[in-house]
Amino acid sequence: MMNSIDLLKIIFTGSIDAGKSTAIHTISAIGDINTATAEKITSTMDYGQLYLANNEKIDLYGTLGERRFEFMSATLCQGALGLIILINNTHKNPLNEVDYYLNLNADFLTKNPAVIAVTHYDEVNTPSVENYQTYLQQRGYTWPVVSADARDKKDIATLINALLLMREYS
Amino acid sequence: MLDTTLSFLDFNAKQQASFFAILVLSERNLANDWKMVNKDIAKVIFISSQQKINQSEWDKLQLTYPESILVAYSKNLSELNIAWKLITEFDKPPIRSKLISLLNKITVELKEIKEIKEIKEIKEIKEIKEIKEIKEIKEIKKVIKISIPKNILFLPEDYFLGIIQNSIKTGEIYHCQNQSGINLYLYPQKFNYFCSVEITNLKSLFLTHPNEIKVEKILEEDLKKLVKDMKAKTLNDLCWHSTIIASQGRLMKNHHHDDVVNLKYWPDISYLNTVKDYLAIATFMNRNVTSIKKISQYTEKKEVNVIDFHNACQVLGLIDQTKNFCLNSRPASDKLRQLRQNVFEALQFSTAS
Repeated sequence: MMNSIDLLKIIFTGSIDAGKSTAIHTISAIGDINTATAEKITSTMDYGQLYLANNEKIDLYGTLGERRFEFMSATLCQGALGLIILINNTHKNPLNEVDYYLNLNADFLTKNPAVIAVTHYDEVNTPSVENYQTYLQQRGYTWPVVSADARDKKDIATLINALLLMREYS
Repeated sequence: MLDTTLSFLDFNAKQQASFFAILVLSERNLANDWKMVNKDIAKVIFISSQQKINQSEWDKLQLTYPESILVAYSKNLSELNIAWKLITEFDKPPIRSKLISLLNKITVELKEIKEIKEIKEIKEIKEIKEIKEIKEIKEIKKVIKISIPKNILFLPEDYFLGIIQNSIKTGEIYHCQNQSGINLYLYPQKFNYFCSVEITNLKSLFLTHPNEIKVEKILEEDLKKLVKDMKAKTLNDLCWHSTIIASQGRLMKNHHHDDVVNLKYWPDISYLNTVKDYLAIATFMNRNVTSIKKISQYTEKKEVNVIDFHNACQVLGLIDQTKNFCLNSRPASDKLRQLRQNVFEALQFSTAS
């Protein structure tokens, strides 16, 4: 199932101020994408594009941080290559946040991969990446967890590559 | 550029004027322009003598102006054993054709001298370069001497990794110093280390045998004084990099190519960026439970890289060893593989990844 490609799009989701807009902006080929931000919180959808050599492009979507828009998540994820879940480690309960986003996208994740990126790790390193991994394992999830800097092109590239490799090795 | 400067020695004013006049008249036929300068810096010196010049005087002059071509400018020079002469009656100007011929021959000589000098210089540069290269090769050999694996197995106790593991095991704080004078402090209580040198520049330390490293146990209070201006770094980084450097494609003791393994947790993202194969190996190992040999075959990644990655993950406790194979991955479609290659390229990754 994971080997079929319907649409070339990747979804960035996650907690408020986790760096979804930044991550898309870091690798997007198009300039600043249409986001309306107030105090660093996105209130409209993020969009970016990654151009490929064969004139194809991958659409990059960022979900809205506020939970009142969660109903849009399933529609947005339809046909996507995978989900990059960004968790702000300075959040008061980041482990619950992971749980929330995995549950919210549970249907999509039965057939598609996800990568969990812990951001702001340099500011707060508790819970540790190991804590996340243990937490997920206890809940039966095997998705990779890594700390990442949404401003770092290399980190975001690694997350996307990991997502595609997971499809390839599915 | 050819140095064509000339000067006079023992010329009177009249001689100088007449010589200069003929020189100007000869300009069209000369191979190059000649410039009059002080005799101390002239390349060619015309030496005039009313008296008969004897050989020993000439030889003395040659010693006085070793860098210059000396031209005897006199009436009777037949007995002298000298290279350059212009037979001229005293107080008469030189014969134009003879002066042209002489100066053009000197030009040829100067060119040859210049070429010889340049060849010599190139040779010297080459020799210096060769000596430098030999020195460098010797230094490399010295490093290789340290890094050539004596054992077909990777034994951490033969490397700096052994010291790190010992510090973690005993909880002792170590001050380590290698022969290059690099100071590194291991602080296992906080799972930290301190070192002013970047980890990427610690290769030689990672390859050094513990016997060659000065290790001193220190107290926590002393450590705090010693490292008060240094930044704490995680010991995980040190364990990872020292394993990757020292492992060199060799499995650790009690591990085999047929061991069935699974990557239960992913290593830090920064480690995955160090070698391009690691991301693919990590993804495959995380999704499958299989042997080291099979990982290399399935992912088409070098076994050396698989083993180094496996060893580093083992050291960090990220590997589960089991007896049950569980191969979840099915061969990917060509379209998916191509897509990944295209994305890799778009993200400035190598297509060979």
